[in-house]
Amino acid sequence: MRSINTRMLVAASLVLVLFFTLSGGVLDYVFRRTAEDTLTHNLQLTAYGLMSAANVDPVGDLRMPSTLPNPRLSRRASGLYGQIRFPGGPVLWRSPSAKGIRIPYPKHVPSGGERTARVEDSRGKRLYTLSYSVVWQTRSGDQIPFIFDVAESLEPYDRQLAQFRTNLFTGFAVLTALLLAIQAIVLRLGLRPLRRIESDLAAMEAGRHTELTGRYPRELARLADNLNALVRSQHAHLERYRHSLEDLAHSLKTPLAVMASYCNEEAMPPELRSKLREQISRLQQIVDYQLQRAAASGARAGGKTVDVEACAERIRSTLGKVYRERGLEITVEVPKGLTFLGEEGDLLEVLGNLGDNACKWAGSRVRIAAVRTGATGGGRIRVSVEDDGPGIPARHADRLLRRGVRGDQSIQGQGIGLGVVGDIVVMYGGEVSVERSPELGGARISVTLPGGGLGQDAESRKRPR
Amino acid sequence: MRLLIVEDEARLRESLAEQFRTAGFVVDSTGEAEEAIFLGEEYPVDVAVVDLGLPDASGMDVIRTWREQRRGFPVLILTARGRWQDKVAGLEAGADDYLVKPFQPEELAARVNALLRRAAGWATPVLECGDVRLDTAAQRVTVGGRNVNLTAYEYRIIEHLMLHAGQVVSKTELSEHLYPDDDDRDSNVIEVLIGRVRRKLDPDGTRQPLETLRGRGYRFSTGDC
Repeated sequence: MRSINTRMLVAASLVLVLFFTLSGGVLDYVFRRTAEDTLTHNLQLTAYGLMSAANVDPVGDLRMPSTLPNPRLSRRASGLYGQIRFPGGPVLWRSPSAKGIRIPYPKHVPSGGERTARVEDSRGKRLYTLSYSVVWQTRSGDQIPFIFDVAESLEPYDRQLAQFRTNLFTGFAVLTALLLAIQAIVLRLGLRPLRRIESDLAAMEAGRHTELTGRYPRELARLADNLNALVRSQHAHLERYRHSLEDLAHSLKTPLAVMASYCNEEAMPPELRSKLREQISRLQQIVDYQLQRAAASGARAGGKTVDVEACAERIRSTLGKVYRERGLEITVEVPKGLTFLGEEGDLLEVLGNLGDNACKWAGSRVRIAAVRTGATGGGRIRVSVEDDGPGIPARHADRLLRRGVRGDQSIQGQGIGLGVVGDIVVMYGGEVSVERSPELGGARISVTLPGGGLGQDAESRKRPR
Repeated sequence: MRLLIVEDEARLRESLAEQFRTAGFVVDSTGEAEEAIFLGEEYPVDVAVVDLGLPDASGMDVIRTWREQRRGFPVLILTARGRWQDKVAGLEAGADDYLVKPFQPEELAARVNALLRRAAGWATPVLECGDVRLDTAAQRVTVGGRNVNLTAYEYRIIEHLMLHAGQVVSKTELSEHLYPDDDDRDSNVIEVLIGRVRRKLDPDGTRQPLETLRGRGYRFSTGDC
């Protein structure tokens, strides 16, 4: 019951079933009433026929003609029967059709009235009976009470009713199916914009689009607009935040650089110089760390996908330039089309810091690799950077990835970089692991990050010069 | 060595200029992108230090313009933005190294020296020609293990000649890289300096590492570097 489609389909089906049950009942009732009325009417006619045929002589004896008004009364077991009796007394006349058949007519009939009943005859056939109680006035003035009984077989009626019900049921079943089908189609058509918005949202989540771009009906257009505005404002907010942070960085760091330059003054006592430098260096670390951490966005809603290979190549060429004299062999092993779902800056930050760290420690080789892990589609990617340096002792591994802790004070800036990597990865819900590189023999730091959708985005595959 | 400093913060610019002048560099400095482009195009700059956050344009644009003009001197970026995205963008624009502000002056000096050395094609920080050893990191020269006591100018002359060992370096080129203004460029001063350097490197006159090619200039040559 979680989807609107199912809800509406179930509700409409219930309404349909209720409607058809009620209208079926009403139709059945009306049909039966009509049929019974016809039956009663026919029996009345038969009874009147008998009455007019009956002849009571002045003595009071009843005589019936040999030719009866309805020939069915003469044909044996024809389904139409009649008899004449005294109330509570013996049967005076019985129609030839009823020969050998005993019919249990109701015993008591209100005098001067009529009574209908459903009975079973001696053969077990169902009959509908009508009994008239009449008072016959002879010419001599005597009043003789008679009861005229007529019975009609219910077989044709039952057949008719069964036929009617079959027709009714079949018709309604076909109608129900038809209506449900129509309704499903209508629902599909009506809800199509919702489905579209759903798939567009999924595309946004997977990073294939940054906005809901489709055309939606009026009711949804406003929702889509609002959603787009929200995403845009979130992006704008993030950008503003980042820019103000960068401004802050600039305005804090330049004075720090100036302060550092004061330390070079000849007039500065050496002891004071080293103390001041230490404090400046601490300030620098704090500013660096907080700014880098804050600048990492971890934004994912409507985030774009980023081609991992292109980023890794950019980092490779940057590191190659910076560490040119080390003559390091930096290789990139990233499958084509592998994408990261998030901010490009964050991926560059992770790759840059890990690569920088590896280059500092490497003997001669550094490898940047990435693979898709887990299921197809979205899933996650694992990025790892390894070197052939001395490796990271297990007891330091944990500390390294925590904020601003340096594994080895001798190489500058080490702790901050890896701490930032840890923060970014956590923001993306990933994990960091430090182990020994099985092939290169040095340290291998691996991080898991959200992978982009299909990775076929032409835009994200564009490579910078 | 001619160093161009592009930094808009006046105090930092002056302090850096002073630092490098003391180390024997010829320093040109500016706080504006437009002037920086002009200086880089017109002066025989050996290395440039560029701050990315300039008031009139990005330092990145300055570097890009130089590279488009085929100016190939090494460039070190100074940036307050420590993000890798900025570092990558800077190096892709044509810079060769970066330093995040604030930095230690020694660190900057070491990076600049390394860039100079690399630009001249030396892979290691120690230049060795025969028994003459020049340590660019420590800025010290030894001959046969004996420490040579040099002034900043004398060191720069040897460094320049050794970086371009085997090539003829003209007197004009030497003075351009050693003196900031045309007025000071007196060829006699160069000759006097060369004479002093020769005596210090080769007191007994047996090795003769510094050749004089009349009318053309000087050449550092010991035959095995």
